[in-house]
Amino acid sequence: MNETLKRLYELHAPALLLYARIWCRYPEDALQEALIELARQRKLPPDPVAWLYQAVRFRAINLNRSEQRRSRREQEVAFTRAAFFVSKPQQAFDSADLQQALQSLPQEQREIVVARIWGKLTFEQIAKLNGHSSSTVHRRYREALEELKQKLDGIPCEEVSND
Amino acid sequence: MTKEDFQFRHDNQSDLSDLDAFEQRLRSVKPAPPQTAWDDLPLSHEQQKASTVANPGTAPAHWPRIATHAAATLIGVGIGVICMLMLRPAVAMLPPNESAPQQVAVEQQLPDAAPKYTPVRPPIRRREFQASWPLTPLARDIEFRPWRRTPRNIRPVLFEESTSTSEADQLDKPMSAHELMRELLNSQANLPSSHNQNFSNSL
Repeated sequence: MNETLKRLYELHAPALLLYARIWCRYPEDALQEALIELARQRKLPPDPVAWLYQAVRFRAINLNRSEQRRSRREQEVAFTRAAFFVSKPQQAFDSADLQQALQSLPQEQREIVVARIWGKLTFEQIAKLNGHSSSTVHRRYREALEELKQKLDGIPCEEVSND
Repeated sequence: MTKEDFQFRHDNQSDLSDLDAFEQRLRSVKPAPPQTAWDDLPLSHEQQKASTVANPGTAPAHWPRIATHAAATLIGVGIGVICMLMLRPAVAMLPPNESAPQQVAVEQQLPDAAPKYTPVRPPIRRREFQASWPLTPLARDIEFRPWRRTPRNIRPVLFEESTSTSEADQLDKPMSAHELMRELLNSQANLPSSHNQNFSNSL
């Protein structure tokens, strides 16, 4: 059990943190609580990755409620300092631009994009997380990608396809 | 397949392939790793288990909150019950509504074919006047200062036991101040002259 948890943490912690950042300013707390909750389970769930995403989502929303009681200034400082992505010299996007583009998306689209791209969840798993049908999730995912592409590349998808 | 269908599918395919490429580029950017490694997690499940085993009798951290909620609920219920008990006699002291129509059992004459029945309603229970609370003098029928109802001129005057020649039934009889003075003067007039002299000297 301990080895499984450790492997899950090492493999999925960055994506889970990014996922928790959608709702709360201190995503490590949400991830930690979710891991402790997973360790308390007598039997490992059939799909532990999807289970972890569900647990992180729940904890992050709860933490967000308690964070609202803290001072707003403290939250702002913590939020601007946190870097969502690793910054490397030769990567496809500048990490700060990607972070800004991701933050400009509506919360629901942001959740779907993070869970799909960095969490590598299927559309069915994401649909179970946010309670929509998989076709709706797929449609919103495409809309979000098009919006991100327009913001990051500066060219909308329609123009690219017409070229 | 019409030309429009083909064009639509072709556009979608190119759209999808373009989005797939974009998706791959997004995936190449790695999210930031957690600042704490697995071994350095501040309160891992093992530590939590250890603390639980080390202190098996200790209550969980959320128990005080539960206890506070329970105490507040009990206090609220207690205040409610006290308020209800205080308001109850006030309601009970309201005079019964005499003008309310009395419900009386009515016996209807029904044809023989129909089953005979008497619609009887249970009597209305009215709360009797109870003077147990509050303990006001009016409710307890205690008459404070009963002499107030007596006119001043016929108030009884109490006498001490004396050795005078007056009749006992006359002494017991209450008399007004005028009658008493008149009797005193009469008794003075009946006394011997030496006694009268001493009485006038003493005055």
